[in-house]
Amino acid sequence: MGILDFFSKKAPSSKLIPLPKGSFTIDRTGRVLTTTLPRNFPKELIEEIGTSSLELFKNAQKAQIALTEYTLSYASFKITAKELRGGAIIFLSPKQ
Amino acid sequence: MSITHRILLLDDDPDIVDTYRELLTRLPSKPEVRTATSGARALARLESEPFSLLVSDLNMPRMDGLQVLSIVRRKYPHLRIAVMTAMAEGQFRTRAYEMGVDLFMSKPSTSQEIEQFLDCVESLLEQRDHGGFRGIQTKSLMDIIQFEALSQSTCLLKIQRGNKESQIWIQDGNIIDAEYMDLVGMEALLEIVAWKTGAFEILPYDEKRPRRILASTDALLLDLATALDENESANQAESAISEEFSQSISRLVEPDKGIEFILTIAKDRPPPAKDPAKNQQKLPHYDSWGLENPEQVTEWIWNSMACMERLGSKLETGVLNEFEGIGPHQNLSLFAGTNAYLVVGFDRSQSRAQWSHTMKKIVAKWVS
Repeated sequence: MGILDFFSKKAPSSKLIPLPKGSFTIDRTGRVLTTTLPRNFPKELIEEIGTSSLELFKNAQKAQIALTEYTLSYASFKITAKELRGGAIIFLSPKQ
Repeated sequence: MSITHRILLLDDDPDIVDTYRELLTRLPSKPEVRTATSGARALARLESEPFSLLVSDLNMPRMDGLQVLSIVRRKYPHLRIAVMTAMAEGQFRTRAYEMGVDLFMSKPSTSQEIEQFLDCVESLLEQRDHGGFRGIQTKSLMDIIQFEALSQSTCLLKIQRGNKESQIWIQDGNIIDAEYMDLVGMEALLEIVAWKTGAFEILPYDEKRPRRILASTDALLLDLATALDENESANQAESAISEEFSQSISRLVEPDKGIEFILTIAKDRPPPAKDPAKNQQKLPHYDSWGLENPEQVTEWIWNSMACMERLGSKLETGVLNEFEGIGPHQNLSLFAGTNAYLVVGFDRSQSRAQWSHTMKKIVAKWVS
């Protein structure tokens, strides 16, 4: 049966991450300060959303487009970020 | 029939722009007031709709007021210009008047000064209604020449319009010569009488002037009137054509909707060319209206949207459709099309609901 076991073994499936609903705050360095997001939502992704948002604000400033808030709409998800003294509060909400 | 005047207010300080817009809209002539916070935006606005008056600040970053005035005076000689500045030093006043501004005022600080400023603006708008020359606002240059001819005077009529200057010599009521740039005699006279606005001085002249215009005054005035009529018809046809937008992006502009700029950007960023010569030949990947720094903004959009699209694919959120930004000076909206982004900047006078609605209309136009 050893050979059959080999074929019946399931390949590790990629982990499907449900789109989170909640918010988090980050400081000017991108460090997550507070969060209401589900625990199972990867920390690395929260940090990536945070740093991307800070970069967006910073680069907008460089392009002489001062922004204090933005909303990004994807087909099934929305990110809203508000600048807070160099840091930001970011709201994530899946579209129903 | 009363004309609705349109005033363009240019100042880099959005608070000042808001305050003066409020004041100017209350003028008796009820003008429409458009605003711009940079020289480039002001020039883009002037291209897209006709204005009666430009009220400009002098001290602005990037393109200063004097640079804007010199371009505006050259491109729009009929436009009335008022300068309202905190830089009231004599040298700026002189330079501004040399460029042909109609009014130079210090930024008003008391209610009396504000009232005076508003009176001056209203007066400039009235002058625009009547046309004519400074000093005798309701008379045309032809009327002035005719008056001098009838009174059999001998004088030198010096006429200034913007930075252009011309002269007409009248001797015992006969027009004997004219000079404008390289033109002299009848050629110069025909050019000069076509001017609709300007300032003039009547000066005595003593030196002997050779007579280059030999026709009798009556015949000459008749010829000039005919030439003016023909010129007027040609101008009307020309202005009808120029009213059509010359650039496709300008057609997206919704008048009176607080649009500050429009930028369309190809989604595909061009790869850096190894050969710099090829880089120069490549087609531009963006088209802009009203933006001073389209390259910088294009770079920002490319970088930010690429980053956010990468994030979107990690989260499996589907395609990125829209981006809306709110700022202290302006708001912006981005629509992601199949191959390009459409980015529109709105001034703060528009509520979020208003600019979202305008954006939908612009997107519909753009997509179609």
